[in-house]
Amino acid sequence: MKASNYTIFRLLILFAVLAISYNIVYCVGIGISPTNINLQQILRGGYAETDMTLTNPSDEEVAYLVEIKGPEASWFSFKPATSGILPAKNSIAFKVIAEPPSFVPIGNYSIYLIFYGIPTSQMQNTGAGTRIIAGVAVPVVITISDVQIQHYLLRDVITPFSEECYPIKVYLDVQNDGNVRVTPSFQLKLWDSKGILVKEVNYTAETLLPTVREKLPVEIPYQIEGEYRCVPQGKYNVEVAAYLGNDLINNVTRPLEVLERGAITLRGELSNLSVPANVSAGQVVKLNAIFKNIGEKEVSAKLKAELYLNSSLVDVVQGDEVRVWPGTSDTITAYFTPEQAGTYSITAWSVFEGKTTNTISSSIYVAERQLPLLEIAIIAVIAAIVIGIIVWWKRNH
Amino acid sequence: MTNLKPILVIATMFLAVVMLWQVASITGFLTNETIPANVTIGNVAPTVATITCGSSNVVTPVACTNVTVNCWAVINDNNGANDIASVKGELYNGTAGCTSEDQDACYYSSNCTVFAAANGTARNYTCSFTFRYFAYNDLNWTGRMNVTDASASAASNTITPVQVQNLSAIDVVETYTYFGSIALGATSAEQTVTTTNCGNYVMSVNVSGTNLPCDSQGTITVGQIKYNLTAAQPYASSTALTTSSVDTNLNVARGTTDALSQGSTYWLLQAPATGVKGLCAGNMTFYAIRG
Repeated sequence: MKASNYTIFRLLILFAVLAISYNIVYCVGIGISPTNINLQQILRGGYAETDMTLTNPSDEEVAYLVEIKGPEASWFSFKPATSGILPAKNSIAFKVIAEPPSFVPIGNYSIYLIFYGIPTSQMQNTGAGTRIIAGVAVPVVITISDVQIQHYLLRDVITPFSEECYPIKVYLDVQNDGNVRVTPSFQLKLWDSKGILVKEVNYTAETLLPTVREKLPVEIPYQIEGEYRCVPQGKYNVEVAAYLGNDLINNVTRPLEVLERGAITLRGELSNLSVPANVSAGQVVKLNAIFKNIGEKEVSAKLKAELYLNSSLVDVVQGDEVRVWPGTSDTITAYFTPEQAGTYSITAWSVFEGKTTNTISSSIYVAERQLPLLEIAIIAVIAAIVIGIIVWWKRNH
Repeated sequence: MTNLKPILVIATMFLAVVMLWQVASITGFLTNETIPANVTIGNVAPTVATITCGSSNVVTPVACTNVTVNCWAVINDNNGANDIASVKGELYNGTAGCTSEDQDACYYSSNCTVFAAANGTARNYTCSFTFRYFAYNDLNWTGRMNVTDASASAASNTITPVQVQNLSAIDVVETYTYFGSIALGATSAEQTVTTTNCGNYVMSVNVSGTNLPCDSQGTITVGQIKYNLTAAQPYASSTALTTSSVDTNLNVARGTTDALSQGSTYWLLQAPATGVKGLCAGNMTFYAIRG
C-alpha cells in the first residue's frame, strides 16, 4: 500500500470513529413510583411500610442512592438497600419502612426522600467539567398518633381455575390498614350454582404488621365431607368472610370454576407442523409436529392428522405415542401415503391422555406417481413373454 | 369356441350383478336409511365475569418505558365456548369509553386472546395493552371487556376504579458537562443540558452543584457556573449555581404522545482570573419534583 493511500485509509477510520462517537449520547436518569407517601395514624414506636418501584430509564447503568432530607431521617429504612447499582432500563421493587421512636410527640412530620441516579462511567480528562446526577424527590408526610387502630381489609379474593379432584386454591388479598399488628381469620364457603353449600373452611393467617399487604394462599380440600367423591366440575361462588376476633370485617364473593379432571394438570400445545418438500404419489410422507407439555404431569402424546384432497377427506392418520415431561417439548410423528397427485390440506392435532390440543394446518403438493425402474423392467419382461407366447401359439396353430 | 359360450354368458351375468350391487350401494338402496331428527337450540348471549386489570387493578408505569398491562376475565357462553366469536378490551380514563387508542387516556385491544384452558362453556380471556409511561395518572381508569358470539349477541362488563400509579422520573440527556479548556478569566462555550420528563406529572427541575477542585492548582467555586433557561444569554445575566438546590423554574410538561417531552438549560463556566490550573471536576445535580 502506498503511503498516500495509507494516510487516506487512516483518515477514513478516524472519520468513522468520530462519526460513531458523535452519535453516542449518554444519559443519566432515575424514576420512582408512587411520587408521594402519606403514612397516617402511625403509633409511637409503631411500624409502617410502603412499596415503591425504582427505575433507571436511561441506556446506561447508574448507581442509585437514597437521601432523606429532614430531622426524622433516622426513622426510615429501606429494602433492599439505600444504595446499589441499577442496570440500564431496569426497575427494582423498593420498600420504604418507617419506625418512629416511642418518645416522639404526636403530630405531622414532613420529610423528603431523594432518589439519585449517578453515572458509573468515568469523566474524560479534558479541562473543566461536571458530572451530572439525576434525582427525583418524594415528599413524605407521617402522622404520629396515640390512638390504636386495629383493623385490616380483605381487598380481593383471587380465584384461579381449579380442577376436579385437585386442591382448590384461592388467594386472599389482605392489607392491615390499622396501626397495630392483627391476626386475620377467615371463613371460606363454596356455594354451587344452585346455592347449595358444598364446602366450608376456616383459616387463620399469620400476624400481619401495620400497613403490610399480602396475598395469602388458602387451599380448600377437594373431597366432599361424608361422601367419597370430589367437588364436581362446575361453576361455584367462593364467599370469604374476614374476621378480627369475633368481629366481621368484610365479605368478598368471587366466582370460581372447577374444570374437568386434567384441565390444568394435563395441558399441551401443538406447533410447527412440517412436511417434506418433494413428494410423489405412492411415497410415504412423514408429518412432524412439536408437542409442548404445559401442564403439571407427564403425558403420552401422539399426532393425528386429517388429509384433504380437493376438500374431500381422503385419510386420517395417527402416529406412535411419545412420553413428554412437564415443561418440555418433543417431536411427534405420523405417516401417510398419498395415492393421488395434487395439493393435500393437512389438519393436525395431538391426542394425549384422552385430551386434544389445538389444531394446526399445513399443505403439501404431491407429484404424479413415478414408477421405479425395477417395476418398469418387470412389466417389460412380462410383456415380452406374453408376446412371445402369442407368436409361438400362432405359428404352431 | 362353442364350448366357451356358456362360460362367457355366466361371467357376463356375474359382472352385471356386481355392477348393479355397486350402483345400489352408492345410491343408498341397500343401506339403512336414517331419518333425520331436527332440534333447534336457541342462542344464549355470552357473559363476562369479574375483570381484573394490572396487579389487583393497580397499574404501575415504568419511567420512559412502555409496559404491557393485561385485563382478564372468564367469559362464558352456555352454547359452548366455541360460540364465542370475538373479545375486545378497553382501558380508558374518564367515563366516555374508547374505540381508538390515543396513548394518553384510551387503550384499545381489538384481539384479546385465550390464555388458559377451560371447560366446555367458559374460557379465560386476556386483553393486552401497551401502556405508556406518560398516560394520565389517577383513580378514574376503567377496564372493559366486550364479547360477541357467533350469533352476534353481545355482552360486556367493566371494572372500576383501576388506579394508574403516579410516577416521578427524569432522564438527563448528558452524563457529564464538559466546558473544555478555558483560559484564566475566560468564559466557556455554552453547554446545553436537556432533561426528559419520564413520568406522568409535570416535573419541576431543581439544580445544585459542588465546587470544582483542580488536580494541579486551586478550586473553581460552584458560583462560577451559571445557567439560563434561554440559549445564548450573557454570563453576567445568568443565574449562579449554588450548593443548595434551587428551583430553576423549568417545568417539563407531561408527555401526551410518544414524542419525548423535554426542557433545556444552558450553562456557562467562567474560570477565575488567578489561582487555578489543570483538570477541574465537580458535580451538578438535577433533581425533579412533581409540579
